[in-house]
Amino acid sequence: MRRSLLPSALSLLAAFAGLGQTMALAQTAAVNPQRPVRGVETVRPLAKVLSDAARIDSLLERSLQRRRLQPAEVVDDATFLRRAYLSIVGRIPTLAETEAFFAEQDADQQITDQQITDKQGTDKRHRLVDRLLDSPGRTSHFSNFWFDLFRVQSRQRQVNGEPFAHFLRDAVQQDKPYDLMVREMLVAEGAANKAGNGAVGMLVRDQNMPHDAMANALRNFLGTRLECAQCHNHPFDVWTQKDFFAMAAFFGGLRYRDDSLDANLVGVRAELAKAEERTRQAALNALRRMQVGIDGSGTGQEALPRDYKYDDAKPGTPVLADTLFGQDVKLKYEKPSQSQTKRARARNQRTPEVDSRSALADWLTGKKNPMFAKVIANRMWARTFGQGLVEPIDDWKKDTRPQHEELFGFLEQLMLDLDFDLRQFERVLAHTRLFAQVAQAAPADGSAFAFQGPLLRRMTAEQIWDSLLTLVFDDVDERLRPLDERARETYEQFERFAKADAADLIAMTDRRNAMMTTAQRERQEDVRRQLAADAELQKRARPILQKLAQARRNGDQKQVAELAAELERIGLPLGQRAARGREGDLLRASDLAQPAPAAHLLRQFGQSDRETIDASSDVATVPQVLTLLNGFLDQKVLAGQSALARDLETAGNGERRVRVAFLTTLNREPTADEAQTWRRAIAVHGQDAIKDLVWVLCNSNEFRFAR
Amino acid sequence: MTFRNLLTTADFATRRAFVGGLAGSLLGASVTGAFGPRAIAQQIAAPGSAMATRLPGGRPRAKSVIYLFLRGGMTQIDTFDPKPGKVTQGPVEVLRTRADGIQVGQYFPKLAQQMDKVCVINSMTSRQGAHEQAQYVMRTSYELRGTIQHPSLGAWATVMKGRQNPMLPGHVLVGGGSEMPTAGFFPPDVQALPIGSAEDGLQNANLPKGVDEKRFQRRLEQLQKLNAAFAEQHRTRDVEAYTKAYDEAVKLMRSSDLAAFDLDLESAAMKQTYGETRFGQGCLLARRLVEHGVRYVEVMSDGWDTHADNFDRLDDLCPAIDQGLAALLADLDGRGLLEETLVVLATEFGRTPDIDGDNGRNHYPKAFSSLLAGGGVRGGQRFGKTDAEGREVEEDPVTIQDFNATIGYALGLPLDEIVTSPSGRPFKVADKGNPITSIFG
Repeated sequence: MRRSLLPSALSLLAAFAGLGQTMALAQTAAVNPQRPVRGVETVRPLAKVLSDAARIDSLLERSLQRRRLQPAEVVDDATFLRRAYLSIVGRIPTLAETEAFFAEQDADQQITDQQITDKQGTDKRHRLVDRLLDSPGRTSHFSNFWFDLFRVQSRQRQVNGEPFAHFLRDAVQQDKPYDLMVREMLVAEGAANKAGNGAVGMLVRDQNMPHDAMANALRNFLGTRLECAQCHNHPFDVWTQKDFFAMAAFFGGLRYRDDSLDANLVGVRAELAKAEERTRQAALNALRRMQVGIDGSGTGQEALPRDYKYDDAKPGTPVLADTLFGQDVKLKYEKPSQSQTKRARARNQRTPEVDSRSALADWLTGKKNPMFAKVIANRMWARTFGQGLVEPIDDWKKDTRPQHEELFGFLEQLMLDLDFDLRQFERVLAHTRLFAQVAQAAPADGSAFAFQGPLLRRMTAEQIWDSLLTLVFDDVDERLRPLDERARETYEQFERFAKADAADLIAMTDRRNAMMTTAQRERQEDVRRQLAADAELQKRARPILQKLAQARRNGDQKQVAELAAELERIGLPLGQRAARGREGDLLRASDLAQPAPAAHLLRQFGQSDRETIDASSDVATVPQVLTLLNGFLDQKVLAGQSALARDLETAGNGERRVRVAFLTTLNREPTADEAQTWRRAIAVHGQDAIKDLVWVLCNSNEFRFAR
Repeated sequence: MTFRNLLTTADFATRRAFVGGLAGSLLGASVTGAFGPRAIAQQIAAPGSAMATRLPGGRPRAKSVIYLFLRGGMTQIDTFDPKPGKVTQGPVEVLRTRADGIQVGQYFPKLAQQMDKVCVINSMTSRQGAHEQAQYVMRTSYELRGTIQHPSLGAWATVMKGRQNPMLPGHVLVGGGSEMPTAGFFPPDVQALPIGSAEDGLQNANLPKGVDEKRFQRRLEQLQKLNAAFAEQHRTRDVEAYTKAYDEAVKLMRSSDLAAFDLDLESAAMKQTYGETRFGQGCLLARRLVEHGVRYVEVMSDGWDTHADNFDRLDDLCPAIDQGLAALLADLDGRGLLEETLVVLATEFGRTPDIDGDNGRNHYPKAFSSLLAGGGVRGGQRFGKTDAEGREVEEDPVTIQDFNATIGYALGLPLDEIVTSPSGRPFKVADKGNPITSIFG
């Protein structure tokens, strides 16, 4: 191989070595903030995984045979490589990653891999899958899955959603078992903006709407749709409105306000009362926002609506918490105290709490719940293979039967046996033969998808964005941000409020930008300085770049090299220009604001607006096409500043350039016909043809459909 | 995939033409001439055809629809169905309007001056109280199902009436969320074109620097070649949809009607009249698009789910609607476009007459309100009535299907036409809805 595996890391290493800091760098380089904490192999040996995977394949094959269907052929290495990257880390592989994988086949025995050895006789596809599952990109990609399901928005009306996003990213990176994660979200308490409280984010997302929170929890975790029963008996299913209220009772008495700050604030409020009305209101509003959170362990009861119209209960009467199916839950309701002391009377005013949220979590996430494991197993299947064995994935009815029922039974049991370790579950799926089979189109007549192979799908918006970024930065996953980075400001702000006296509060809310922390201001100042420096740099680089372009046209390689060196001297080496200045915008989707702004490429390609559950879309639209035809590609990918442009630049002759373009964008070799066509085009149109080639490849259906 | 049964009850010639058009579009051939949807539409809506003569009531005149959607559930009592003096009214004052007997909430002083052009429907009623499902019914007239995607009303209009301007899409969505009104089971080329922000218009519609038309053409030819190879292995509806979207995009780029999307061609004064809000500028863009012959324009306004602090929230939400809609009605009228443009203000459900502890109102599909104006609808009238406190519909209930049928009627769509989806199921424009014909004329 001509290229080293990690050119940027190596050149950095070389630079630092000169300063005698190799050790320090090696340490920092090893700690990518989003790398999963454990290696998959240390948790469960591959041999076991492969045996589970084989079981899935044999159950599926048997079921297909009964329908006189055959599993599809296995795909070639190139297709497998691309699929594995997209499915597990959410982006296409870089040129280096692609070449390394192809080379691995040629020199199988020479590859020494830290994590997986050849001892178990694994082939390189299995090694790749495990390597990807252990890589930081997997945390990024999987986080998007939760963000969609839980409608994560960086900015909600009254609270910042970043602490919730932080909690979810953290759960992915730490391999928090799914049942535990759900439990934490159901029982979480405390102020939403305080560090460590991110789990309250799920309930705060439906602030002041505990009924909706319950309906969403039932839908997401148990695949049971009860929204209709909020207002009337379910028209198509067995649920009654009273059933719904018995479930809502588990969230009874839920308060969307954390009062832990109150003790400190007594004096502050008194002090504020003296302030001018506007100032006082501003400070109180800020305080109110800071106190949004979740409080109350659950009263286990909820009053029926005033317009309740069925015979089984009177309107307005309380209903006690009761589960929809599976095991009953026993709560210890206290009798109202007969004592007439002032304290007892006050206590009687408020319905006593009976830890009903915790009881709900026990029931909902318990291994005996008949739906909990099924729903997540089906979701994970759908995520990997494109469709659930039950569809829609969150609307199971009494008479719902999964496809390939025996296989489904195995998946449910596997989920339980793995103790809801989703990365291990994903690992089993990715090691199946099915995962390596030729992708199939969805049946046009709307009939059920049979899974002779995975479903042919358009990439998600996040996959498209992250893949395009891969063309700009070939170290895109090394740029992943610390899990809490976007939430830090919120945490700092909360701490400032917690300590503030009235004067501080007024000062903080009075001035326009006073809400900013010092750190925020410094960061903003940094960005401003950086932008100014970049502008200055660009100005100095411009004449050199013009000369460079001229030299390229003349084919004067010597001058090109000289000018490239000159650029490097002034601090703007070729291939790194895009990395400067606006770098903050060019992060993987999971590290950007959630969701991205409305006009963003991500949103054009159907990123969820996070208003409703799983609302992402893969519909073809004209604005998407216009962006690819005339926007992003020419501005970012072809602009001579991207990793791809650099690789094309250094690839040498036309034939090699064509190869680099195909390997980088479609991760396959060009066919003989393609190679010839483009070699000719380059001969006629030169540099333009190279850009045209990349443009064509990135606009192609082969690029955006994950096959 | 076959659309052979798409129009089973149309007369033979129509059906054949329709099938021809769809087959053409599916095979990637350009949709023009005798087999284009326009030609089909002319045949469907030809004077003297069954539907045109059957319907009583006033004459529908709409060529285009501007559909303004308040997402989240607009409170009716605080807006267009006030109940002054009743317990349900809350703190909102009531304004008299230019139309006798029509009052509006205090938030709509500008719109009050235009109510002589508006028909208020106070008797909307449905059973769907969950946002996603309710929005889906509003858009499609059918319940949300896992097994089929129903076409939105905009898609129906585009398929049945064709495009007025073949260079522009039939259906445009301004300021929408990620959930798109879709083409459903219709061919992908009737998919709505989404415009994220009205002020930004249609982005990236011009060739990038350094790429001239000749080079662009070279790029497209090579792209077509690569896509053809892919389609040999993977010929699916989704892949086909991208082929259509590329055709559409290129057509748009080359169209002189691109100006329709450019609000910079409007004067600063005009922008101010509509209000410098997302919604206001959306209305202005809608007017430009309709002027250029777009059939169906939707403009979205978000944030109407006022469970808590309903009245504070209305202070923030309503001014944009008041100014935008008032300006739109006056402007369309001034340009003589109101007669042929139906303006709709709709929402997925109403909000509870009772005000709860958080000063909020909650979901209430049982009785809510919407507005219709233009397109042959008589202004200055109310249709339907709720009881004294706004709890129940008392007169002339209007289901969502009836409401959509009324929009379809205004456009002259064949409401009784049964269209069979590729999976063999029968559907109509507005399901079983009956149009309110008496409000026209």
